[in-house]
Amino acid sequence: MKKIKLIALALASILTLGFTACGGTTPADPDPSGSSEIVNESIDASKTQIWIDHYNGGVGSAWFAPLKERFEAAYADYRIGDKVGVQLKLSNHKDMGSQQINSVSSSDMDVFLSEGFDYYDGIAKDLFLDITDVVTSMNSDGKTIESKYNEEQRRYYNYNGKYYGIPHYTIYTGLVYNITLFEDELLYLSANPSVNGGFITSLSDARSLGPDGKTGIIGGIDYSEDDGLPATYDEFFKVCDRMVANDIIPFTWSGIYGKAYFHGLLNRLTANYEGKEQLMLNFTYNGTATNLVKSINADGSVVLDDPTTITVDNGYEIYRSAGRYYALKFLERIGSNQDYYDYVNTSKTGSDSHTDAQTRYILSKYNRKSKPIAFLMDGAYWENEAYDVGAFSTLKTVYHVDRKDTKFGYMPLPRVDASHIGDPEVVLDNASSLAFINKNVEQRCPEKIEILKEFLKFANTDESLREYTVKTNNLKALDYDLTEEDVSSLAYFTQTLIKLKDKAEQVYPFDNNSKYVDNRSILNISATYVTDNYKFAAVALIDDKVSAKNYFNELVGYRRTKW
Amino acid sequence: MINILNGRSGTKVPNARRRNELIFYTLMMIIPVIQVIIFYFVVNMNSILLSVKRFSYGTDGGLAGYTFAGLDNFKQCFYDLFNDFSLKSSFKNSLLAFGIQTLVMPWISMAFSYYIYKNRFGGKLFNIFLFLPSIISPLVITRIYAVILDDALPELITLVTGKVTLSIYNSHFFESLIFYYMLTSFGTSVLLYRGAMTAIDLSVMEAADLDGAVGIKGFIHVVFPLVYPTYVTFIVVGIASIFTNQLNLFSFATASAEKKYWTYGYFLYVKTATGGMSDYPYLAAMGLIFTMIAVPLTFTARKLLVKIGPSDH
Repeated sequence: MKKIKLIALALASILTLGFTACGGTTPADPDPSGSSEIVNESIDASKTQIWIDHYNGGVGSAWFAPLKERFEAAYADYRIGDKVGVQLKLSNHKDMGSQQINSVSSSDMDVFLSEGFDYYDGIAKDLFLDITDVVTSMNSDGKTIESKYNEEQRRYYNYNGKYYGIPHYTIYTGLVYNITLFEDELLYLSANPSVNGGFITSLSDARSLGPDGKTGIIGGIDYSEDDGLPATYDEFFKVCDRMVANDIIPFTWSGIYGKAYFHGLLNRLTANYEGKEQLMLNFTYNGTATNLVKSINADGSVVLDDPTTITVDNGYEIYRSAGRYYALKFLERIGSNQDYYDYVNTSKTGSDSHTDAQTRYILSKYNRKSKPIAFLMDGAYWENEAYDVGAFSTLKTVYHVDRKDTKFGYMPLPRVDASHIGDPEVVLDNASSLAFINKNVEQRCPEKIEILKEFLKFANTDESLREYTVKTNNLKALDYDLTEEDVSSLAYFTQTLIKLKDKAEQVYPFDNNSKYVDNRSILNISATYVTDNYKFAAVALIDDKVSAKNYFNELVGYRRTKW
Repeated sequence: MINILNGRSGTKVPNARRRNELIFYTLMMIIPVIQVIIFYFVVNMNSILLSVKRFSYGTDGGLAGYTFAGLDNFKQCFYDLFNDFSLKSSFKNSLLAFGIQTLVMPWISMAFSYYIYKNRFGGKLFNIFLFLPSIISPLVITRIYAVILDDALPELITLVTGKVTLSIYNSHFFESLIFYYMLTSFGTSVLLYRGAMTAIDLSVMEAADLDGAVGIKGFIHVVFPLVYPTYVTFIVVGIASIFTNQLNLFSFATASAEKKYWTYGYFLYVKTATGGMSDYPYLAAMGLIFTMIAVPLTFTARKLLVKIGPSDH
């Protein structure tokens, strides 16, 4: 009996080890936002609290402290009952909107700043307060929030004449490239393709024009950022071959999430080929498709079909787009050579997280035990995530390299071939971040409705939008301008993203037609490469070595039968 | 007078006491009964009604909300069951899971339980280690398991053999899933079988020993017939869960599992978790089809097993 008691005591003691997790993580890098202080700030009973439910993901919450300060100052005299002034209370978490949707109606949170919250499901479940007046009325910056929407956003967020949510931040996925590595290893392409295999011999050499086919400042836009970068798929893999020869690994991605990120890359490659107008047919089913594949030749080139009218009835035809096929060809080429990617770590589909990949990528150039890595497949918020887990801190303490001495860029993607050089770059917003007011405030605290609406308006003035970008190095999903001072204060990576965005076509991949909305679980941008057999094209083409042609044909057939 | 409530003859229970006992009984039962009504009858009735509807968000000025769809959802479901790759894979994988749960695991569990019951060497240690996966948080244990197969074991093999070994978790994902499923199946089954064995009268076992029914003979002729009801329970539960068993796929891959690994349980779960209101009617219809197959199968199997099984005698 005594023995059993001792064993039980020992087991119970082991269980207490679990409490060590209660302190939370202590990243090596300090929390720059001070958001933990805001979260733990005690309630001021003399003021009205505004409770904000915040998805604290890759973008972080560094933007909140200055916004809180300004808002509380601006509304210091605001009265509700015997309370004077307002206090913003932030509740940070990492639950996606899909996890929250069933608890919103009973939540005490007033305002939600979410990610992955389905807008139309929220409306159908009557979770959102009507904020049409917030969106359409003049704001303190002399503009309406609606004026900052683009056409697709206006169509999507306007539900039968009313607005129920405001797009929050952008989510761009794509390719990150290590500019420092490119410079140190002279991986840029020369303006003179006959010398040194087409590569520059020094940083002062004239570089090729890059995918945009231009250089210099034209019309106030800088076209030199992509100079020397591969302009076509062939040039891109020529650069990859040079990397392999120089003991550089071209690609890495997260073992767990990389296959999903590949869809982002595929969609951008497709978009670059198709252009905004053609790409939008994937969601509007209203227009004429001019790039549909009729047949695929033995050498992998395509024969284009006659222009085809796309309607709701034959919308599956758009999946025959040549841009989609060529994007798959790009992926096929990555998978064709194991030296092109970090196959050891990317195969760890059970344990290699996005932050593992980011840390590995950042440290690879300086870590003598591994080869340097040129490209990371990730979202545009990646540096915030890497910072939060201490990657830059490790870079400083172990390799004595400061974050500000690193240069990473958002890669302008190559075009299919030389005939497409100069086609506008297309950037795609994943469009799943949403701000809304909880409908239950009408019963719970109707006296707060006015100030909650004021908060949303305040948070979407130009000043607040700029401040958000400066603090988070991420962009809001609205149209606003940044000053030169704003831009120069941003992380190098974000500056490259902004420069790319300035000359790119921005696409918000959705529409409000009932065919799309009622079936968006299979028609949304993230699902456009799903086939009958595969959820992820990367698994098919890289792991299982399915050919691009076969995958493309399977995709087209699947969409036809599913329509 | 004969007391009806407490059965004691000659004693009359006062009305007040009967009333109090009735009130107590009602109060104790009212919450579970309401729960059954809401979460069983109402939910299932709602599913039935949902399965014959169609949902539209009415974004282009059309009618928003549910409309009657007749048997359209069922037609789509039946078509997909025979044509959709994820559902064809689900058939194969769910059947495999069922086979493991009902044809393989019971015997391995009973073998371990018998070994422990017979107090053989290391029996108590087996007891602890077999039960461990069931008491540690599934979130923790799936992560540990994934890391071991992804990283630790390949590293070890690389160290020992000198040959670079990639993630076993990735290259043998389905096998890893099956092995994990078997590992975590032990806990409850070993506990219950051992409980059933412990309940066997010692005199029966002594008599069996005297008659020479020891070891495997003892198991086949004495122990198994006596734990047969427990065995039937596991088989019946296994049949009932053919369409809900996920093989722990969501724990490992969340919503990102490739279609070739799907089971019916995973299909329903992930489609519901990632779908919207317009997807629910189809899923309700699919759930009803699964129920219409599982229910008669379960009752038939139970009847058959009870009929053909060994008797206590």
